[in-house]
Amino acid sequence: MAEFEPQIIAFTCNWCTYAAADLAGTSRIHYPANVRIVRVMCSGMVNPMYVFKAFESGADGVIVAGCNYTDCHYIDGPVKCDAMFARLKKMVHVLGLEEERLRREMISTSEGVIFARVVEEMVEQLKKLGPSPFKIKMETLA
Amino acid sequence: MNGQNGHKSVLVIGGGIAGIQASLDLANMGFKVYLVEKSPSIGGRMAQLDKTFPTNDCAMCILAPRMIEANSHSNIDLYTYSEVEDVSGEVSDFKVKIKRNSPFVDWSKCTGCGLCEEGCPVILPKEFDQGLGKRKAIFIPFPQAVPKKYTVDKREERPCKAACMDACPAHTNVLGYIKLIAEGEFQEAYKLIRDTNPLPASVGRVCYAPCEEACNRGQIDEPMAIRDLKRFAADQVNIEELEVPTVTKTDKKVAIVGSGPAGLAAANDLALKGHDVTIFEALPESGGMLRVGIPEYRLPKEILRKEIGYIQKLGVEIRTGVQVGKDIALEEIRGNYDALFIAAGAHGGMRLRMEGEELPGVIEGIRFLRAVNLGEKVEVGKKTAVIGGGNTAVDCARTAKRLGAEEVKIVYRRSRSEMPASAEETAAVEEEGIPIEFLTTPTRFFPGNGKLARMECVKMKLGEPDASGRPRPIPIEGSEFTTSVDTVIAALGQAPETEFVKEFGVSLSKRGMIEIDPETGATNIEGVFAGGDVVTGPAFVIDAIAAGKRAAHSIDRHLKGEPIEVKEEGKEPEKLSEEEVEDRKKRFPSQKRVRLRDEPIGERIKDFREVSLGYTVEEAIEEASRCLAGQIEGCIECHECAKRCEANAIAYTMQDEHIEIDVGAIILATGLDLYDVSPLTEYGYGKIKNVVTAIEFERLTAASGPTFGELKRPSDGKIPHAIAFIQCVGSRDFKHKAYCSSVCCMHATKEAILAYEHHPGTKSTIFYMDLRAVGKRFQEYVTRAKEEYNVTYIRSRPGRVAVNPENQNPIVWYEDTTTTETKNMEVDLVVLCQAMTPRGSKELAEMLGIELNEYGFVEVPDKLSHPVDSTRPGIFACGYVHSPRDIPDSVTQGSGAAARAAEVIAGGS
Amino acid sequence: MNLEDIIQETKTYYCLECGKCSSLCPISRYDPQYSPRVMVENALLGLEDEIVYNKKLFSCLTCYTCQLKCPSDVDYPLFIQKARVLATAAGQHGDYAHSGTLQSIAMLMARSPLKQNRLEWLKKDGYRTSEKSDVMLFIGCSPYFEPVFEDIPMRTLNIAEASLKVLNSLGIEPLVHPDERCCGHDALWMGDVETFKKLAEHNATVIKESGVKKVIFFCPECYRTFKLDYPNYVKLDCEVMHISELLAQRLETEGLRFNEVKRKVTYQDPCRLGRHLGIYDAPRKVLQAIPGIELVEMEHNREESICCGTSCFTNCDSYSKQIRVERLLEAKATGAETLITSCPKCQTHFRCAMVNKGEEKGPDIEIELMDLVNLVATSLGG
Repeated sequence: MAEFEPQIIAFTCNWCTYAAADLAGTSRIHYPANVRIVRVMCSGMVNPMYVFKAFESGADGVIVAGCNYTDCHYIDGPVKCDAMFARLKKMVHVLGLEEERLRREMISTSEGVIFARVVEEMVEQLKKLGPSPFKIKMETLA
Repeated sequence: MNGQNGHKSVLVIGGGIAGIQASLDLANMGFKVYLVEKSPSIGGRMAQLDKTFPTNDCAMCILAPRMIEANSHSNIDLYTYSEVEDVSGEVSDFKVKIKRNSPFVDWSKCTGCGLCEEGCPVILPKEFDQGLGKRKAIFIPFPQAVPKKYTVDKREERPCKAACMDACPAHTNVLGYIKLIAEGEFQEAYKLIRDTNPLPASVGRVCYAPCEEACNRGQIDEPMAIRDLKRFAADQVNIEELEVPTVTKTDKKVAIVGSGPAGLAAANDLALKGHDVTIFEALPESGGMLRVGIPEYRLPKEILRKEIGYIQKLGVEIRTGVQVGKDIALEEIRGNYDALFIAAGAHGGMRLRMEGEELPGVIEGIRFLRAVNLGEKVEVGKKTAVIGGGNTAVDCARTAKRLGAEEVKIVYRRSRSEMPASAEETAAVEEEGIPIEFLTTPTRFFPGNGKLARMECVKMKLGEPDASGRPRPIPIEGSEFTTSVDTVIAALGQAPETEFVKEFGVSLSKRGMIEIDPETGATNIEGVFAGGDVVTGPAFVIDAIAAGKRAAHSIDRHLKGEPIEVKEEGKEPEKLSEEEVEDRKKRFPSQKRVRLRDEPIGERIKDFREVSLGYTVEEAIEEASRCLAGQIEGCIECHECAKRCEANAIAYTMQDEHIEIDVGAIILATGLDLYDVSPLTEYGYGKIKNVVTAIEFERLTAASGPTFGELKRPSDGKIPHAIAFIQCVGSRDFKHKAYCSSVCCMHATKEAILAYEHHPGTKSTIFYMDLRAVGKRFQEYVTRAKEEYNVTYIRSRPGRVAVNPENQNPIVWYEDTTTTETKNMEVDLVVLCQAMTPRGSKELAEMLGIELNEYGFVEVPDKLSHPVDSTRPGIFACGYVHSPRDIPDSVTQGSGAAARAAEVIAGGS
Repeated sequence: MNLEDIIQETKTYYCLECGKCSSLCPISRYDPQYSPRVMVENALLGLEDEIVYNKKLFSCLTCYTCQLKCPSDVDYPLFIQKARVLATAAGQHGDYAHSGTLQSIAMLMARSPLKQNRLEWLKKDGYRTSEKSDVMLFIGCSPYFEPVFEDIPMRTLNIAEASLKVLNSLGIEPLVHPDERCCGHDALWMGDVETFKKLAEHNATVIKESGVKKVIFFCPECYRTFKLDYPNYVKLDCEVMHISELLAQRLETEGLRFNEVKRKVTYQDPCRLGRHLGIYDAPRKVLQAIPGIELVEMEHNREESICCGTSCFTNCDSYSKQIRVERLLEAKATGAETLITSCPKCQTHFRCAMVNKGEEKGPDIEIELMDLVNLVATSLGG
C-alpha cells in the first residue's frame, strides 16, 4: 500500500502569501506537492464555509494564510481573518476534527522560504494524523 | 283520540316562510294544521331580511300578510314559543307531544301595548338584530311579530331575596336601577328611580338606607352601596332638561300643606294623575327639612331646587311664605279644594328647661340650622358646645365648625353605642376634629357681660333601660364641673306644630301628632289626609316620601269617587338561609364594595362644599355589578312589568304546558342557522369592529333594525362608502362546511345594491370564487349591479383582514388571481357572507327517526320522484333544512311538501 | 417520486385556485411576485421547470399558515418539501445564509464517524446528567450555533444549560449524549433527503443503544422532526416531548414552585411548535404559572402567529427582514418588556434583525428576547 499522501488546500492572499508561494517557486525552493493553492484577494474574506467546503471535498488539511497586520492592502484584513479563524476553530473543534488540520499563517511577499517550511511541516503532521475523518463514508458508521 | 281527526291533520315544525306556506296550503285544502315554532313569533329568517333578490321587494311587506293569515286561519293552530318533545306512531297516525314554554305572560290578556317593556331594567342582545340591537327581558322579537304577545325571558332563579325593595319604605325598584347602572344605562336608571321617588338626587345623598341593611349581599360580603348608586344615577342626569310627560287633566284640585318630602311626593304623584296641586309653604323656601334642616355640605340646595323645579314643571304650584292658620285658614283651603293633604313636618324645637336657657348665645338646634340654610347671618362664638346625640346635633356641630367656631364639641348624656346619629355621621364629625363628650349633660348656664359665658355640666352613668329601650342616664352626684363657652346649640329633637289643625277638627294624638289610618293616610275628616313627620314625629326622608305617595294613591281614588283601598305593598325583607349563603359564596366571588371618596378634611371644613364626591362612572359600574340579582341572565323578577301592566297579564308563576296531538303527517321546516365564523380568525370577526356578517349587514340596512335603516358602520357610526363582501366564509371549505350555501353570491349582490341605494356612489367589491347566479333573472341582476350600482367582482378568496388602527378601516388582503399579485384594499366595512347550516335538525331527526346527510340536511332518498320525502314515510322536509336554497325555492318546496302531506292524509302513500 | 406523485400525495388537485394561501402568506405580503397558488397551478399544469428552476421555491417558510387555512385542504408545505427534492436532484438550491456554513456542518456530520466534542459546556457547572437515565435531553445544533452567532449575540448553549437546569430541578438527571447529531430538519426541508436519512438513522441508533424511553427537546424543529418525520424513515421506540409540554404536565400533576419574576411578557409561537404540532397552551400555561409574569398577547397569536421570517437558513432576504420587523413591532406594541419564545431559531432571527438594522434609522424594534426555559430556570431558582 502506497504511503498516505495528504491533500492540503491553502487559501492565500493575493498580495502577500500568494506572492510568497510564487517566490518559492521562482526561487526553486523545494516543497511538497500536496498543497493546492486557492488565491483569494484577502485573508479577511475567507469564510468558514470555504474551509468546510474544502473538508467536504476531501481535503485533509487547510491553511489560511495572508499578510502581516502591517502589510495588508485592505488595512484590517488580517484582523478579520483572525476573528473568523477563532470562530472557525471552535466549530471545527466541536465537530471533532484535529486542530492540526487547520493552520492560520501570516507570510509576507518575501517569505517564500517560510511558505515552503509551513507546507512541509503540515504534510508531516498530516501524515501522522492520517486521512481526514470526513473522507470516510457514512456507510462504515455503526 | 286516535281517530279521524288525527288522520286529517298535519304537524308543521318551523314557522319560517316555508313552514307558513306549507301550513296555509294545507289549511286551505281543509286540513287541520298544527304549526309549532320555537321562538315567540313566526316569520323565521325572512323576517330579518331587508329586501329579497332579484326583485328587491321588501321582505316584511311580502311576509307579514302571510304571517297574519297563518295566525288567523281557522284551520291552523299556532303554537309559538313551543317545541316538539316526542313523536311516536307512524304515517297517518303520529302522536306528538308539544311543550309550550311558559312566556310568564297570560297571552289571552296581553294586548301587546309595550308598557311593560318600557319599565324593564334588564337589557339583553336582540336576537332579531343579531345582537346589534338591544331588547328587554320582557319582549316581542320584532315590531311585526305574530302573535304580538310579550314573553318574559326568564332563565334562572334570582340568587337573592330582593330584600332591599321590601326594606325600602317607598319600595323603590332597587334591583332594576342597579341593573341599569351596571349596564351603563344611567338615564334609564334615573327614570326608574323617579317612578317611586320624586327626589332621587336628594334622597341619594341623605337617605338612611334601610335597604342596605337588608341587602342580601351583606350576608355574603358587604351590602351594596345602594344609596350612593342612586346618587350616581341622579348625578348623571340634567334634571332641568328632563322631558315633562303630557298628562290629561282631571279638573280636580288638591291642596297640600307643607313642601317637604311628603308634600312633594304627594304633589308629584297627584300631578302625574292629572290633578291640579297647590302647595302652601310657611317658609320662604320650599323643600321642608331637606331645605332648612340638612346642611348644604350634605345636600347642596341647588340640587334640591332642581328636583323641586321639575315637580313644579309637572304643574304643581308652590306658594311659599304662606303659613296656614295665620296667613290663610285651613277652612278656606278646604272649601276651595277637592282634597287636602297635611304634611307640615316637625319644625318645633325642644327646650332644655334649665337655668340660663334664655341667655343670648343659647340657640335651639333646628332653628340654628334653619337660619344658616336660609342664608341668615348667624354668628357662633369661639367655643361652641352642641347638646344632643342625634343627626341634628352632628349637623349643628359640623355647621358651627364651618361657620368659624374654633372649638366645637358635642355633649351627649349617654355613651357612643346609644347615639342615635348614624355611625357614618359620627365618624365624619370626629374626623373633622369635633370631640364628643359622652355621659355628660349640662345643668345650667351662667352669664357674663350679658350673654352666655359658662356652662355647668354633670357626669352621668348608665342605669336600667327606659321606655325607649336605652339605658337611662343617671347623674353622678358631686361630679358637676363648669367650662367656659360662648355658644350652646341645643339639638334635643323636634316636634310637629299642630295648633293650626286643632280647631279644624282633625284628631290629634296625646303627643300632639295627627292621627291617621296608617295604611291610607286618611284622617278622621273625609277628604283630609296627612303624612310625614306631622304624623310620625321626626323621622326619615324616605319614610315621608312613602307616606306622601301612599296618601296620593288614596287621594286619587277618593277624587275618582272610588273607595279608598290599601295599595298592595311589599312583604318583610327576607334573609338568605344559611345554605343559600354558602351556595352563593361558592357561586360568586367575594368582592368588597366600592368606597365613596370624600373631599379632603382640611379643605372641606373651610366652607359648605359637598363632602362626598360621588362615584365615577367606572366605580359606579363596578359597584353596581356586584348586585346578586344582576349575576343571572334574563329576568331578575323585579316585578316592574307587573306594576305597569294595565291588563294584569304578567304571570310569574305560569308553568310550561305539555299537550298531545294526533297527526297524519309531519313537515319539517326548521330553516337555517348561521355558521359561527369566529373560528375563521383570519377575517377578524369579533375582533375588528367593522367586520360584520351578511345578516348583520341586512339588519343595518333594514328600517326595523338597530339603526332604523340608516346604514352606518359599527365602530364610529360613519357611512361606509367602500364595502368589501367576502364570499364563501365557511362554505366550500373542507375545514368548515364543504358545501355551497347557495344564496351568498346573490344576497351579497343584493346587499351591495342596497348599500348603493342607501348612499349612491358607494363602491362595493365582491370577492368571489365562482359566481353562482343560478336562477331566473339572477344573471341580469348581477349585470345590473356591475353597470348601475358600482359593484366590482374580483375572483379571489381573501385570506386575511387586518385593521388600520387610525380609522378602524379593515384592510382586505387578497391575491388578484388574474395578475397573480398579492394586494390589499382598505375599505370602510367588510361583510362576511357566512355559511348557513340546517337548523336544529339533529335533535329533531332523532325524535322523528329520519336520516340526515353528513352536514345535517334531511336525507332525501328519492331525489327525482319524491324530492321532499324523508327516509321515513309521512315525514317531509322543505326549506333550508332540506338543502341550501333561496326564498322562492323554499316557498315552492313548502307547497310541494304540503301537497305530499295532503296526499298521505288523503289516503295516498 | 415525480411531480405527479407529489400532486397525488399532497392533494394539490383539490386546489380551486382561490388565492387564499397567497393572501395569508407572510412572504407574499412583502413579495407580491411570490404566490403559492401559482406554484400549485404550475404543478397542476405540469410545468415542472417552472417549479424546479424557480428560486422562489426555496422562499417558502413552511410556516403552515396557508396549510391551516386552505379551504381545499391542500398540504402546501409538504408539496414544497417534495418539490425541493426534485429541485435538489436537478442541482438547484436556495440562497444559503451565512454562506452555507450551517448546511456544510450538517453535511459533514452526516458523513463521518467523527468523535464530536459537543459536551464541553457541560463540564463547567454542576449539572447532573446520567448515562443510565431513561430520559435524554436532545441538544441538537446548539454547540455549533454558539460560535456561528457569536456576534449577534445569540447564546444557544444558554438555552441548553437552562433546559438541563430545569430538568435537574424537576428531579430528572437526563442522558446528554456525546454522539447525537443534527436532527436533519433543514436537510429534509431543503430537499436533501439523503443527508436527512443518514442523520435520522444515526440518531435513531444512538437513542436505541442508549435505551432511553423519553427524549426531551428544547428546539421545536428537532422535536417536530423526531415526532412527525422520523417515523416515516426510521423506527423510534421512545416518547418524544417538548420541554414546555413536560413543564405543563408537571404543573398539572404535581405543581411547580416558582419564585416571583416581575415582568410583562409576550409570547412568539414558533411555527413548528404551534401550527405544525398544535402546541399553543403548554408554554402559556407555564408562563402564567410563574407569579409576577403578566402575559400579553400580540395582535397575531397562536394559529395566527407570524413566522420569524426564515427557515433552514435559506433565502433570508429583505422580505424576511420585513417580516421580522413587523413581528417585533407587534411585540413592542403589546407594551411587554420581554419577547419570550421557545425556539432558539426564532430568537436567533429576531436578534439578527435587531443587530443588522442597517445604516438608516428604521423603526425601534429593540426588545429583550428570552427563551421560555431561561425564564423558567430563573424562576425555579437555584
